[in-house]
Amino acid sequence: MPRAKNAQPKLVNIEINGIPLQVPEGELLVEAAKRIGEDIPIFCYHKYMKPVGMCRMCLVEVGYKQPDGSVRKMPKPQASCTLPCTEGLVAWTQSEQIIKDRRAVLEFLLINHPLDCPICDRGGECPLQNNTQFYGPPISRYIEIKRHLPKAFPLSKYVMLDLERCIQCGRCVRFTEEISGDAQLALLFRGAQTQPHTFQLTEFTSRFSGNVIEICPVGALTSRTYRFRARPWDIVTQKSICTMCSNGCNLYFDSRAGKVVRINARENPEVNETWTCDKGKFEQVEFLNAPNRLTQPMRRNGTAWEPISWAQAYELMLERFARARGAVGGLAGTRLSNEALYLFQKLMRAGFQSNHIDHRMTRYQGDLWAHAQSLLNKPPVANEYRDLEATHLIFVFGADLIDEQPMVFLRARKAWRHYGVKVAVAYPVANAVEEFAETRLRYRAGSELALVKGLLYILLDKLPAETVAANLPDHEWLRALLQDCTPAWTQDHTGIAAEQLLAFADTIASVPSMLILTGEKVWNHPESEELVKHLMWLTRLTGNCHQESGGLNLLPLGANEQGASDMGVLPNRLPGYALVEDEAARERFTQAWGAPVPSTPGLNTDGILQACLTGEIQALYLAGANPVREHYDPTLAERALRACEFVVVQDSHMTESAEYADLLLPACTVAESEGTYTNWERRVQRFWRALEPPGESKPDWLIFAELWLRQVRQTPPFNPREVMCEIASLVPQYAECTYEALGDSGKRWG
Amino acid sequence: MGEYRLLLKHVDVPGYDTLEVYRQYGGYEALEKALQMERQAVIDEVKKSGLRGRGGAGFPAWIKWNGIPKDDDKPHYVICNSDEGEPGTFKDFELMYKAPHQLIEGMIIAGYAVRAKCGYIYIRGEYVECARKVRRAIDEAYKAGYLGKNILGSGFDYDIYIHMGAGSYECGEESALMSSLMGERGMPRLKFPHAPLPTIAGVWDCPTLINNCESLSCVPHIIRNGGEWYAQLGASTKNSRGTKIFSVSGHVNRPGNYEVEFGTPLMELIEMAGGVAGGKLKGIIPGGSSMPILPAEKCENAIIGYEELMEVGSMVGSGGCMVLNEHTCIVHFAWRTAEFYAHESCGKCTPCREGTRWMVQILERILQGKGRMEDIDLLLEICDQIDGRSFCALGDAAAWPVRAFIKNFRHEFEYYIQHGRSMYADNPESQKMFPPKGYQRYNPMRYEYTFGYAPRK
Repeated sequence: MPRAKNAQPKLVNIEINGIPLQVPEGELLVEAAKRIGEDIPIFCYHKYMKPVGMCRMCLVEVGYKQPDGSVRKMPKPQASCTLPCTEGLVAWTQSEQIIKDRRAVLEFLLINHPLDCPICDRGGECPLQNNTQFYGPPISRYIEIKRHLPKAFPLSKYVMLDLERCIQCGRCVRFTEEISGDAQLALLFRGAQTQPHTFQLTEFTSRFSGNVIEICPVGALTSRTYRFRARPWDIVTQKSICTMCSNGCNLYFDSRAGKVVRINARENPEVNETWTCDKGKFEQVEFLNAPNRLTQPMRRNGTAWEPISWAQAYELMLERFARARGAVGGLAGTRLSNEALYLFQKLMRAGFQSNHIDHRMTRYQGDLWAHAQSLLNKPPVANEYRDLEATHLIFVFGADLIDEQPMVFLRARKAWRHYGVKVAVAYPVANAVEEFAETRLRYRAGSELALVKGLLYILLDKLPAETVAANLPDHEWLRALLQDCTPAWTQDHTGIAAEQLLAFADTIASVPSMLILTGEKVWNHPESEELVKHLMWLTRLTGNCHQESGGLNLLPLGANEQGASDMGVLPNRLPGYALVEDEAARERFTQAWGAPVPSTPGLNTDGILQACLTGEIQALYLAGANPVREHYDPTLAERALRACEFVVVQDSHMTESAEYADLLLPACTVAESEGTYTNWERRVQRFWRALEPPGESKPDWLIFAELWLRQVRQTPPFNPREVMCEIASLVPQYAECTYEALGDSGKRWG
Repeated sequence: MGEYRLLLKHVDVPGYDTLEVYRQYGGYEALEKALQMERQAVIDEVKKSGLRGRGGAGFPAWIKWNGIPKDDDKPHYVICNSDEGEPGTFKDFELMYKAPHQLIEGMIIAGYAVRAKCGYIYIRGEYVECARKVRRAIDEAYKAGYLGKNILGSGFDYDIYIHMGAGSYECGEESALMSSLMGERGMPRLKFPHAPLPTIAGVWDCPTLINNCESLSCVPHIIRNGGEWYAQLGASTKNSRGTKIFSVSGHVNRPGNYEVEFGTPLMELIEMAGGVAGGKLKGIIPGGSSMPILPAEKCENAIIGYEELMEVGSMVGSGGCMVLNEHTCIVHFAWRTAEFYAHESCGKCTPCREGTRWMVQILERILQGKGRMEDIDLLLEICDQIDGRSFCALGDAAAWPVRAFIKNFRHEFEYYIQHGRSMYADNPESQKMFPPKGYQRYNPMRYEYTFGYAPRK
C-alpha cells in the first residue's frame, strides 16, 4: 500500500526510565528514547534502514504493564533498535545490568578490533571510539592473539576496505541490498570469520558506494580520496547543497587549508534522507579542486591571455556591450545560485536593455510554463519526493534515472520496496530501474512520441467514457489527431509489442494515481514540443493533474535549472513567470529596478546562437554557461562563439567555451559563495560559504552587482541575503523564501 | 516403565518405508479420519493431547497451530524442521529413514488443519539417504492420492516439497531455517515482540506453521487414537505428555534410539541402552550438546520430563542423550563442545560471534598447558555475557554446556591448569578419547578459511 502522505499516527503510552511519554505506535524504542534525551548506544542500527539487532549494543531492559498495573519484566534484555513501541511498554536504559551488558558487548567487539585509532581515518568521529569512551570497559581481558586480516584492500576507485577494523555490523551490506539495490557487498563466511566483501573480490561499482563509508561505524570502509588527507579535528565543516544534478541533496563540505577534502551527506528527510551519490560525493570534490581554476580576470591578446584587473575588465566589457547597443545576449549556467540568476537577468534586462537571455541547452526551448498552466494548471514539475511513496504507479519515461536523478531513483526504489508502489520504465536501453520495474518498455531510440501517442490512443478507448469526458471534455479532436495510432502502428514505430502496450495501458487505467518522471530523452527529442504536449494530455486524460500524489514531472537536469526558470532567465518571462509583454508586470519591475524593461520577448538559446552567426548579436555574455559542452548541438555553439564579436565568459573553471572568450571573469564555485538553489521539486535551499575565493575570483552575484553599479549607477545589493529579500518582494512564489524562513532544510514553493 | 514404542513401533518391519506396508499397519487412517473432521476439531485434538515441541524448546504445539489466521487470503505454509544438527541427536534420521510416511501423514494433517497450500520438509544436508526415502514416499503418496489435488475427495489440495540444507547447524533454528528456505543467508530473523510470529509472517511473509519432525510424526497417532489417549502417556509428569525418542550415545553398550514415555527415570533409559560402558557413570547430557550436563549424583533421581529435568538443572532438549563414563576428561569435552559452537556461529550478533571464539581460544590455551587460574572465572563471565544477550538461542546453547562443565567439574579444570595436563593423561582407559597429537579440526586463527588472503608477514 502506498504510504498516506499526511497520515496521523496513533499514539501510545510508554515509559522510559520512569518518564512517561507518548510516541507514535510502532516507533522503535531507540528512536523513542531520543525524545527524552536518552542516548542509547548503537552500531548496526541506522535510521533509514531496516533494523536488524545484530550488534546487541542497544540492549535495554523491557517490561510490559499488565492490566492490573503491575509491570512484567522480560527475562532477557532486548535490543531496543528492533523493538516497536506498543501500549504499556516500560524500558530501563540505565540499569546496572544494562551497563554491564554494554561493557560486555564492547569488550567482545574490541577483542579483534585493532587499536590503531591514531592512524585511522575514523579516529575522532568514530562511533566505536565514542561508545567505548562512554560505555566501554577500561581494559580488556583478552590476551589471545588478535585476528589479522589484510589492511587497506581497495574495493573500488573510491572505497578502501580494512577488514581488521570491521565489527561486522552489516550496515554496508544492508545498504547495498536495501537502499541502492545493487547488492554488491555481502557477508562472506560465518562466525568469527564473517567479513563484508564483494563477491569473488570484484570491484565495488555501485553508484552510491560513497554512502557505505559514511555509515560504517568504524574505520573499516574509508574513502580513498580522503584517506590520510585530514583528521576530523582539523577540518572545517560547512552546510551546502549539491550542484551535480537537480536533486538538491543536502551536503556538508569538509575543508582543510582552503581546500574541500571531503563531502558528506547532511540529513534532510524530505530530500536525500542521508544519502548521496558518488557523483556528488567524489566527483564534486574533483570538480571543486580541479587544477584549471580561473583566478584572475583575463582578456584575449592575440593567442595569449593577458591578466587584467577587475576595473579594467568591467570597463572593457561595458564599453563593448555599449557599442553593441542592445544587440547583446546572455546565457546563464545552471550552477548559478538563485540570487546570481536574478541579478543576471536584471542586469541584462534593465542594464543592457536585452531580453535575449536563456539557460536551456536542450532541444526543448518552448514556453513550458504556459503549456503546463494551460493544460494541467500546475507547474511543469507537479510533485515532490514524498509523493513518490504516496502514489500508486511511478512511470519513468525517457530517463536513465540512476544517472540523471540518483536521489529520485533511490526514493522510487524505496517506494517500490517499502510501500509496494508499482514502477514502469520506458527507455531505449537497459537501465537500473528495470531491475524493480513491473513494466519494462524498451522502445526504439527516438520513438518516444509514437509511444505516448500509442498509449493515448489505447487509453482513450480503455478509460470509461465518463472519465474521459470529465478529464478531457474536448477529446474529439484528440481522437481525430490520434486516429492512426493503433497498437499495431505503435508496434511498428516503437518496437514494443502491442500486447505489452495494452497491458501497460490496463495498469495505468487501473491505478488511482500515476506519477510520471521524464528525463533527458524528452528534452532532447527532435519533436520535444509535441512530446511534452502529449505527455501533458496523457496526464490530463488519466486525471492525474488533479491528484495530489500523481502528475507529470518534467524533471530539470541542471542543479538550479528550476531556479533559473523561476528567476526569469527566459527570453519571454520575468521573475515569477510574468510575461515580458505584460504591461503591469513590467511596470512593477521597472519601479523596483529603477530602469525600464524591454517589452519584446527575446531569443532563446538556439536563437541567440543563430543570431551570433548572423551578427544580430554582437556581444555574448556566458555566465557559468558552457554551450560547447552542454548544448545539444556543440558544432552550432562552437561556430556561434567563433562568429560572435565579443564573448565574455564568467566561470569558475577554464571551460571549453572559455577558449572562445574575449574576456574571462573568474567566478566562484558553490563552496566559495553563498546563496540558494531550487531543486526539481521547487524546494529552495540555502548553501553557505565554506571557503575563501581563490585569487581574485568573485562570487557570481557580486560580479553582476558590480556591473549593475557601473552600468545603471544605482546602489547594488551588498550580500545575497539582500538579493533574496528583493526576490521575495517581487516574486510571489518566493514571497516566504527569505533566509530566515528557509533555515537549514529549505522550503518548497507552490 | 520400560520402552514405549509409539513412533518407532513398526520401524523394524521390513518395507515399512513403503506405502503398502505402512498401510497394512494402519497408515493413512488418521488422515482419512482427519479429513472428515472440522479443521478446528483437529487443532482441538492436538490441544487435548498436550503435545509439546520435540525440537528443543518444548513449546505447546497447538498454540502454533491455533495461531495461524483462520480467515485470510494469504497462502499458508507448513514446514517440517528436519535439520537435525544437534550433536548427539539422530532421532529424525530414523523417523525419516524408516517411517517417512508417518511424517508425511502428519504433515498433511497439519496442512489440512491450518489451511496450508503446501509443506516443506527441510532436511539436513548430510541426510541424503533420508531425503531419498522421503522423496520416494512422497512420490508414492502422490500416486495414491494422499497428496496433490483434491486429496481423498475432500477438496483439499496439498503439496510437499523437500529442501536440503547445506550443512549449517544454525539453519535448524526456526527463523534461520525460514531464511535459508527462502534462499537467503541462513541467519536468524527477528522474533516476537520485535517482529510478528511466524504464524503471522513466516516464510515469504505468509503464515507459517513450523514444527519438528518428531512432533509432526506424533500427529497421526494423536488423530487416530484421540488426544485424550495420547495425554494419558506420561501423565505422571507435571506437563509433559506422550513419548519422546532419546538418541542415546556415548559410553553405553547399545547406543541407539529409544522411545520412552515421559515420566521414565533417566537411569532406566541408560539401562535400556545396555548400561554405562567402560566404567562408572560420570555424567549425562540428556538433551543434546546444548544442554547442561548432569553429574552422576543428579542423574540418580532425574525423571524424564520437560519440567522435571529442568528442576535438576538440565533440559529435555532434542533428546540427544550423551553418556560419559568416569574416564572422560571434561576439559577436552568442553573444548570440543565450544569448538563446535564457534564453528557453527553464524556471525550475526556480537556476543555469539566473538564470545564463542574467545571461549575456544581460552580452552585451547588451557589444553596447551598455558592456562591461568583466572581463566576459569573468565570463562564463566564470558558465558554470562553471551547467555541471553545473543540474537538467537545458539549463543545460549554455546554458553550453557561450558558453564555447567565448570560448575560441576571445576576441580578438573583447576587440575589441568595447575599441572598443565589432564587428570586422565595417564589413564589408559582415557587415551583413546583424546584427539591424536597435533589434531586441530577447526582453528579460528587459520587462514584457509578466508580465501584470497595470505597471512600478514
